[in-house]
Amino acid sequence: MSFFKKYKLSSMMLLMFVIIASPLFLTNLPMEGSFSKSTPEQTAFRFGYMLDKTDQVNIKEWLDKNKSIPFIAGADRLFDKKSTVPMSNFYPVFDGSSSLEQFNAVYPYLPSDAIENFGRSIYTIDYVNTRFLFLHDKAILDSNPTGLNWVQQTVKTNKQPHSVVFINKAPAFLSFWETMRNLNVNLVITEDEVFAPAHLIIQEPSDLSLGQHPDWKVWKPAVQFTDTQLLVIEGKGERLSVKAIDRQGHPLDQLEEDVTPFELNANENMPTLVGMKSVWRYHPGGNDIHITLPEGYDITGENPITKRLTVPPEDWRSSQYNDSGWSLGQAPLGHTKNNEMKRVIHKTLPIIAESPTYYFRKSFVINEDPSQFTKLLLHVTYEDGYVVYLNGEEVSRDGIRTGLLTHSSLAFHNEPAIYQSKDLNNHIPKLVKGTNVIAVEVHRSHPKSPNLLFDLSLSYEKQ
Amino acid sequence: MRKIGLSGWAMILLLNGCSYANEPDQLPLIASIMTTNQHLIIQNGDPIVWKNATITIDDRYTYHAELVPRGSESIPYTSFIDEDGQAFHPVLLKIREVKIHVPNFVGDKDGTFKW
Repeated sequence: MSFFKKYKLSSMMLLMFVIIASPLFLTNLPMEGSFSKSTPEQTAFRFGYMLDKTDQVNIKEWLDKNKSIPFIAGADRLFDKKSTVPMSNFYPVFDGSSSLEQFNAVYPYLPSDAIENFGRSIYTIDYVNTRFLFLHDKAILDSNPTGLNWVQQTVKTNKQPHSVVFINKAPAFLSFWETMRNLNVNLVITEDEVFAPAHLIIQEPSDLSLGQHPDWKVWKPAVQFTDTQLLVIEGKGERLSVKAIDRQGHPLDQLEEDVTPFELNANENMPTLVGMKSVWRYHPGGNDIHITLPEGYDITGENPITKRLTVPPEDWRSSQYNDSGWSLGQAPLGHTKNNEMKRVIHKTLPIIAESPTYYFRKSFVINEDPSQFTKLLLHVTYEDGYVVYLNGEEVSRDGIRTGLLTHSSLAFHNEPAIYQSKDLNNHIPKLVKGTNVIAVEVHRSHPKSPNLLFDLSLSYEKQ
Repeated sequence: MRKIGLSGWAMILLLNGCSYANEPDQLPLIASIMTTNQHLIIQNGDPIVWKNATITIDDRYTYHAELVPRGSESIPYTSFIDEDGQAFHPVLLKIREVKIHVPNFVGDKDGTFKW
């Protein structure tokens, strides 16, 4: 006790230190390994898919030959059931060549009764960051609507960011493709076709055509190259690719997608006038971009715009403006120093010291009468501020002061907004039947800011 | 007492550092200036748009803007030109003063700002 009395201050400090350090004893500190600043490796996987053939295939031989592909899927009839013992790394697609009872007996390792009465013929597997759904057209058609409902439920509850569907035959009815699109399914692969959502494709194979639904494109690798044997589905980070390889394992062609997940608005099932990730004309801000002040326009922005304003054809916002000299690029467009956002940007724009602004234009055609539209919805991705004009008239603005803007105007500082919804119902009368032009100016918040981001979609509903 | 006097002078000097010309036939503009190594950032804090504004750096390099909207505008130094056609060079020169002049800002009175 005399020690504590003699060294009162030191004892108190020691006690305080013990109290402060005590949580460390309750923590599991890492006892091995070393600290590394490097980012963890991106998740990666490879998955094989055997294309349709007349003869049965020795799956084991294929797997032995291609060690980097741990799993292979393919039509049930390709699997030689007599000569080979069940292989848990083969995932069959039910094609009706066996009865449901035979199928259930041959593949006991598959999950069963995802849908009542369909045994193991419908199932899912989760592998790395992707959910693979194995379907067959009969289940989708015969169980109507149970089959599609199950697919919707399965994809919606998917904790994996990506989904790939294998099905023996491509269903002809459009509601299947609309469901797949609305669920953001990344690939639909049949026995001889690969379907991909058009907006995700960043590298097209040399022979790609439109699918049954306008939002889907189809690749037929077995038609393009008669010696195509296997498709290799490869996922790395936010890239998903499908490679066609021959018997020797040589790549023949490939399709690549950018599958960066976006938080889309629930109303994305509305038909679109301008799709996201579209190709836009763009031009950096400068004195060569002509702006006029329409008669009656309040340049202070103090008062709301209450009457229709028109701009002359030399104004960059006009539908008649000649933008043929502007560059072309696929959205999202912009520039950033943020590595995560770099993956989002499809077309990187150069940073221009003269101006913090970029201008964008796109024309689109409406074949029906726009007065029949009941809803008009804008989903806009931007950083830092933007103004959207429809046929020369302002319809939406955010992140920047109201009133007149020049190419030197700075926006307010903002975090990137990803597909933010804006109701444009009041602006439906600004649309015309025929060719329309949407023009957008995007401003940075500071001339030295490295971040500028832009993409949008415009969708509608009608009576 | 001497300390209070000195503090008073210091306050006056500090306030004069970012102020405007106070001529009787002129009105003060509500503005603020920021600089980067390539740009001059001007904030028009007035409720109206400045028309035919002239911005001058160090009484020599001028930039004429037909319209300066409300809010912030960034103008590259290369846009400021002297009588010989030479642009302001931020690496060689340091900004000592920025003046903004807006003719007929309100009625026949000009608006001015000095930084």
